[in-house]
Amino acid sequence: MKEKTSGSLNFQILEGAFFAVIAVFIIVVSAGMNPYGSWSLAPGLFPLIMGVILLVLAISLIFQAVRSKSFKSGGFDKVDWLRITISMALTFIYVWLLPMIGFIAISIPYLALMLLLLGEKRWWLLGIISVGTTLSLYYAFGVLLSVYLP
Amino acid sequence: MIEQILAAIDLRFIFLVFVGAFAGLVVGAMPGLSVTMATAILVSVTFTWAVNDAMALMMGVYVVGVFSGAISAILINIPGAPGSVATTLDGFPMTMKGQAKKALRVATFYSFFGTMFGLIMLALLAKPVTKIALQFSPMDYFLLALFGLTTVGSLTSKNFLKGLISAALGVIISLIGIDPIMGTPRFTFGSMRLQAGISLIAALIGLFGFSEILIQIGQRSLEPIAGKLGKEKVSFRELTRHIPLSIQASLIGTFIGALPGTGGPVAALIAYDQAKKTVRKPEVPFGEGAIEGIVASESANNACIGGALIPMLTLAVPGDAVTAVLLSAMYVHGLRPGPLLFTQTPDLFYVILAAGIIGSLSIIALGIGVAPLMARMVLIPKKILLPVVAILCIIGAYAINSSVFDVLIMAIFGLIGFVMRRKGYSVAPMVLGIVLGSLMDANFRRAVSLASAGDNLIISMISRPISLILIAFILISLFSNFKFVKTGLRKLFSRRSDKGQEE
Repeated sequence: MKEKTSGSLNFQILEGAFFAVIAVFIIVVSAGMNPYGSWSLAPGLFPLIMGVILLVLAISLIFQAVRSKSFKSGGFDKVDWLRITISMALTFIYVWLLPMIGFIAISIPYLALMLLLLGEKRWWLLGIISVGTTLSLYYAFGVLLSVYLP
Repeated sequence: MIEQILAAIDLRFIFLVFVGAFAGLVVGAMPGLSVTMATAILVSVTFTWAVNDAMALMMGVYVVGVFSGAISAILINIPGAPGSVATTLDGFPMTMKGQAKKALRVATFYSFFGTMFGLIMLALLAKPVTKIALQFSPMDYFLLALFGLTTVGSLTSKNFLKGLISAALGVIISLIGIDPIMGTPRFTFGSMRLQAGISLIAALIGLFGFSEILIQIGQRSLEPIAGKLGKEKVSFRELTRHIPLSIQASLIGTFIGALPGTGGPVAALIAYDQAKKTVRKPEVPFGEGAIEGIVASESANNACIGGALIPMLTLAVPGDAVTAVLLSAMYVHGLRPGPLLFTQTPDLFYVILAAGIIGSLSIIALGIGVAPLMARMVLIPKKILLPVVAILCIIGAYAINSSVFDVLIMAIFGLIGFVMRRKGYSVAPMVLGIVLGSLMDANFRRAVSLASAGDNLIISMISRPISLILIAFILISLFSNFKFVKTGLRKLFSRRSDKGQEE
């Protein structure tokens, strides 16, 4: 993926700070994971080491950003945020409703709405794809592969 | 040996391997449907069958299932199995350039080559390789996993530091759940569901599949992935040109496969990394559609099959998850794999070899006959393809454990993957970190507790010859990513070639 410039603000410093916060959190939580008093067997030993490594990497990322003059970081420009937000919301609603109303009843409207969202307007195609895909997946997984589908 | 292998083959045997191969093609190409799951289902279906029939079917699924992970990796950038992660790096760029058929053909040929290489190695080297693998201490396993992690340099062409961060986060994610040594919950924050840990497959589908969908949805243009499939024929000569590289990757694959607990993803990534270092002038740079990348990844992950069977048959120690299932199938049939297998049921060794060979021939048949038909999906407009792939991701994540929670994990990792990829953090190192994290954790702590009995902790941990060799590999792999080493080596080589030309 091509990296794009994101204005004058150096996002990499923010990213480094974000990872540093995660690292400190890991270090603090894992430092408390030593119920047996011996670090050689402590469940927190390896997470603690990984927390320290992540902290070092995060600080290096900040240094790299400070030293770099080009302020390069991946960009979010030209992203259709509305579509992404709606599709994520649809997916979370799917996860929420799946155990309640079952695979077939939720998959057909999910597929139809996703197709609509991406600009498919032919209603007959919407119907064929959403019903056809759902039923064939139900047959393949639920019947042939004996996967329990709600 | 050839006579004994031929003795195991008849029409019924070939038919059963082929049926398994077809099933393997489907489950392997579908993210979320694993070869392990398919073989596990087959154990319950085949336990009343004759042992040869059961092995034929399961080996068919195993061999072709490993290959077909590459199909979805190449066509839609979603690895069908973790072993095909490295295949996406060059396979998908080839598809976008309209070379999907070429990429599939290369993957088919070198999957076949890698499988055959692994099986030949199994036949010839079963005993010596097992001896070396048995000498690996917990520290060596930790170092091997660390070596696997240092290959992130080849997965992140832009910023090595970002690759390392992605890998470190992956390792930390793998630590969520019940600690494997003491049984203490870690980073679960009171959630019962997190105690089982983050499902690797759900994370994999999210990071590769769902994030890809989000990236595509976010683009305003929803044209098909590729405008054409490409009709350029790959000549046999062109196809076989990469055999030396494939032998190198297959050797790595066989050896890594023989080490219990590792397997396809580690082998493919190490082989990919090595290919990047040894192939000086690929036709297209690695990561942008280099055939060499597919050759290395597919040869290695398929060679792992033969490798993983070595400790399973000779020591009853499975080399990967599928061989663990095969092992259980053997026990169900009343067999005792291990050192006595060769004396008590020597035929079984040849039955497995025969099924593997027919399975690898099925790769060629299905790779040439069926895979190009599957390739047509890249011509479907994205507004139709993406919702269908989204539902496949959802059901794939659900099917692993019949758990809605895994679907949620998949969706969250999809979002994480989307943000990471937009910000220039490759997701492949994170998957590698999740795969290797628990292996590193368990072996590191075993090594520390074993070494704590010695006088000097550090010396007791790393003084063994295997450990020292692995440390050397890690250092070489790590330093080769630094700019000053790269430029220094380049200068050294160019000076040498200049001298050679002058002479």
